[in-house]
Amino acid sequence: MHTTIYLDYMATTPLDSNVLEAMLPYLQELELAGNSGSTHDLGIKALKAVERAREQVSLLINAEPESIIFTSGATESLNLAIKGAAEFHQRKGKHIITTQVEHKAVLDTCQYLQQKNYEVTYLKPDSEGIITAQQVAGALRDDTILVAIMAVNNEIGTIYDIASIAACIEHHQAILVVDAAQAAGKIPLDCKAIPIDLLAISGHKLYGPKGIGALYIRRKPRVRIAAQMHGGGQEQGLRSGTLPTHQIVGLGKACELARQCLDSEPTFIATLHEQFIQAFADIPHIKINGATKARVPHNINISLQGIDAEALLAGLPRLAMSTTSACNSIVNQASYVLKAIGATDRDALSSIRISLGRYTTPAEVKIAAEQIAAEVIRLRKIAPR
Amino acid sequence: MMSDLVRQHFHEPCFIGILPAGPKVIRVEIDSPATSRHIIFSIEVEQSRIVQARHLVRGCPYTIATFSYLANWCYGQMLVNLTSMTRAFLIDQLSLPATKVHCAAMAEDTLRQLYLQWENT
Repeated sequence: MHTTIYLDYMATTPLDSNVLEAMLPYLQELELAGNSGSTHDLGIKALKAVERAREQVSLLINAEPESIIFTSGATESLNLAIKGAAEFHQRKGKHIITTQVEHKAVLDTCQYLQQKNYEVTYLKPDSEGIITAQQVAGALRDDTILVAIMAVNNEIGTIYDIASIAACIEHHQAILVVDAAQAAGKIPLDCKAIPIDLLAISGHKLYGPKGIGALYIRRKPRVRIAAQMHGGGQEQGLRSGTLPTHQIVGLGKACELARQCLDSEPTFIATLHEQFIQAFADIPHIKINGATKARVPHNINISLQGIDAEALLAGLPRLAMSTTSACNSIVNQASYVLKAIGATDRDALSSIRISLGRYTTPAEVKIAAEQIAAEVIRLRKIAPR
Repeated sequence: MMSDLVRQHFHEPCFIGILPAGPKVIRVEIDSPATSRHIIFSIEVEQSRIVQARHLVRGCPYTIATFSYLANWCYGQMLVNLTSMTRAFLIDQLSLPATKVHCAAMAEDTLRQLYLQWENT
């Protein structure tokens, strides 16, 4: 067992050894070091690797390979999707719908577009973080051009009913952008069965390398977006820049492995999730945040009344977890996601996120749960009632 | 990165508890739900000297360490010395990072309040 128990898989995942093995030749061997845009033998080999990876990514989300373009990560994919769609379709309208609990890659991009005179509706979730299709339908207007919603929430693990949301806007002009950074590899995604227009994937959230992601762009009917990076015309002119072959190969391999594990891995992680919940059952005054049923088992976001989350993490240096709230001399940064689902500042600042993954073991869960419980007891003893 | 002194006081805070109310006891309470900080700091004074200090604290590791350090420092101090403790001294002693200097400010303010309360009784 490693010295540190890693419980922060939703922040990032370690590189799978099979992914590393797939990538290395493209870093070490001259024969595979070509630019995939070159016409000589080395370039052709690189191009073949890129196209193989494109197919691997497309299979994970049941899409056509031609609908996948590579980016530097989900943040770039979401920027391209949202800004690109807003720019291309602005003559149809300038209203965007999203939610209060999206990742900052979506929220900050929408706030940027507000400065460009786009109007944005931020839908409020219920106490479990759920956004319904009815909410989306109720917010649609004649001038709505974009609906941006995540498939799985990165803080509280809630799964969103993308199929119902897609159905309610299918006959509206609005383009559906789905942030699947936390969903790919955890839940099935089917871009042929569900009318998703644009979908973002992150490599380092599914045991691939950091610095690579993908954007799915629907082809039938074809979704048009404006490129945001120019210079070279790669990726159908939508994302210029020399393709990082080794990164793309890594993403492809990671997606292939994720597809192979999609049936078994969530089931295994669900047992670890249950083990944690059982271990916490004896700790009084706690609250599990997020949906009780519509959730990924990989995530446990828990409010521990009477303690400060930053103190808890500092008292457990051998456990790698995260708190999505922070307090410093300048601002109180209570998690906006927890605040949106009704948590008080105090509850938000007493919350930690544990996220489980492929390499988490039952023994690690046992040790972590015991250490967390002990530290909670210690911190509560020194705190006012 | 926590200094050794912060680490020590965070993991082994001194003089935890609360002094029962009495004629020689003064108590200050700071409760800030917006920042998740809650501190109760009490001292017992005899002949203008602090003979006991206790505290209860909820907050970040630096808050816990600062008030533990403060409780330890208070022991045996003349009451008038409470006003000589400054945030600058605490920041220096505990090597508080810029994002945590408010802990020292809170501590300085707590001591001022204790002194004023005593003066007013």
